[in-house]
Amino acid sequence: MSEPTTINNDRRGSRTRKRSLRFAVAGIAVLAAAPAAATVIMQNFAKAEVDKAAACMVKVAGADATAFGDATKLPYVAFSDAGSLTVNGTALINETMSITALKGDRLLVSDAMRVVNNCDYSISVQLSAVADAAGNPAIDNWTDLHMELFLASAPSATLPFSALTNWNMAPIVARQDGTLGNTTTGAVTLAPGASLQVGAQIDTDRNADIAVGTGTVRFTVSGTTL
Amino acid sequence: MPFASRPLIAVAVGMLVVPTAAFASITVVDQVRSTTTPAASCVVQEPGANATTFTNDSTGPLLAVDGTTSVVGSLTLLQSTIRAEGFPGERIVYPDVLRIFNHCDALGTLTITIGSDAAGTPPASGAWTDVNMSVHLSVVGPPAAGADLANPAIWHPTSATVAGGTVTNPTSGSVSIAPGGRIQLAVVIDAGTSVSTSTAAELRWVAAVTL
Repeated sequence: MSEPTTINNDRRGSRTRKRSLRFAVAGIAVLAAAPAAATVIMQNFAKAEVDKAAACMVKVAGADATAFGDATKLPYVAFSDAGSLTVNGTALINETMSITALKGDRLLVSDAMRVVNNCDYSISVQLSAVADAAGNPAIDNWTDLHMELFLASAPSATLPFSALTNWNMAPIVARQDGTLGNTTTGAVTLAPGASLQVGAQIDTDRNADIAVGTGTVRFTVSGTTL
Repeated sequence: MPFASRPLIAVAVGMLVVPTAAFASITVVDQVRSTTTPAASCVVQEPGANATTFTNDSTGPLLAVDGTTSVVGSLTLLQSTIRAEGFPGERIVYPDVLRIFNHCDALGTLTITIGSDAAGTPPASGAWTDVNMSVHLSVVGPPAAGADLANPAIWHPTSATVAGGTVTNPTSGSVSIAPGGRIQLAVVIDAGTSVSTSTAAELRWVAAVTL
C-alpha cells in the first residue's frame, strides 16, 4: 500500500513541479518588465483662480509727446496706447511711440514716454527689442536711420544722454542697415509711485527717402518685482 | 541603477526649491512699438551776408560757408563748414557768417557748443598756434544784426571761445528763436604775428536748438 502511495505521491509531485515551473516562468517574465514600466500616480487637486485688475506697470506720454503731439507740425513726438495685439484671442495693449526724424540732423528726444510703477513693490525695468507677441519682427522698414533708444536710470533725466544726466548707457541700437545692435537696455530699479523716461537719439541721412515711409522698432518693457 | 538615481533626483529637486523661494519674482511684459518717420529738417543753416560778399581769396578777407557733410556710420549728416581768413597781428570780425532758421512750429532755444562732431572728429585741429576765436549769437532775428558785438541788446554777451587750440568756454549763451525766426552767428578771430599762414585752424561746434 505504501509503495503505490509513494508512486502516486511521486506522480502528484511531478505534476506539481510542472505547474510550479510554468508559474515561475510567467512570474519571471512579469518581473523582467516591471522596472521599466513601474508607475505610481498620485493625484492631488488644486485650482488656479485668476482675478483681473488694472495693470500696475503702465506707460504714459512723456512731456515731449504732450508738447509736440500734433502730427501736422514739426517737431512731432507722440504716444498712443490705443493699439492692441491679438494673441490667442486676447487683445494685449500695444503702445506706440511716434517720432518724426529730421533729414541730415541728429534729433534727441528726452521724454517721449514714461514707464510708471503703480505696483506696491519695487520693480526692475528693462527694454528689449524683440518680435512682438503677435510675431511681428523687431525691426521693420528701417533705412537711412540710426536710432538709440534710452531708458532713464533715475527720475527727471535730462539731455545729453549720459550717466551724469541720469540715463542708463546701454541703449537699444537700431542700425542704419536695418539690423539691431544692442537689443536690451540695462535694468533700472523703479520704486513704487515713481516713473522713468524713455528717450531716443535719431540720426537721419540727408538723402533719406521720405517716400520709404515709417520705420518701426518693436520692443518690450519688462518689469520684474524685486 | 534606477533605484540609486532616485535619491539624487530628490536632492536636486530639493536644491531647486530653496533658491526659487528666495528669488520669487513676477515679470510683467508690455509690448511697445516705436515708429520713426523721416522729414525735412526744420532747423536750417544758411550762409550769412559775409559769406556771399567776401568770396575772393586773392583780395581777402575771405569767408565761405558750404554744406559739407559729416558721416556717421553710413549715414550722412549735414555739417556746415565755415572757412574764415584771419590776418597776422590783427583782429577781424565777421558779424554775419551764418544764419540759423527755425522752421519748426515751436519756440526754440539755440546754443552753440564747441565739441567733437557726430563722427567723433575733435573740436579743434590744425594750426592753432597764436590764434584765438570766439563764436557769438545774436539775440534778435531779422533784420540783420549789426557788428557791435558788445551791444547786449543785439548780441548775447557770452560767446563760445577757443584760445591757441584750447577750448576756454565751450558753450555760448542761449538765445530764443521763434518759429519762422532766425539768429545770426558771428565769429571774431585774433591772429598773432607768428600765426601760420599756410595751415588752417579748424573748429567744430554743434548748433543745438531745444524746442
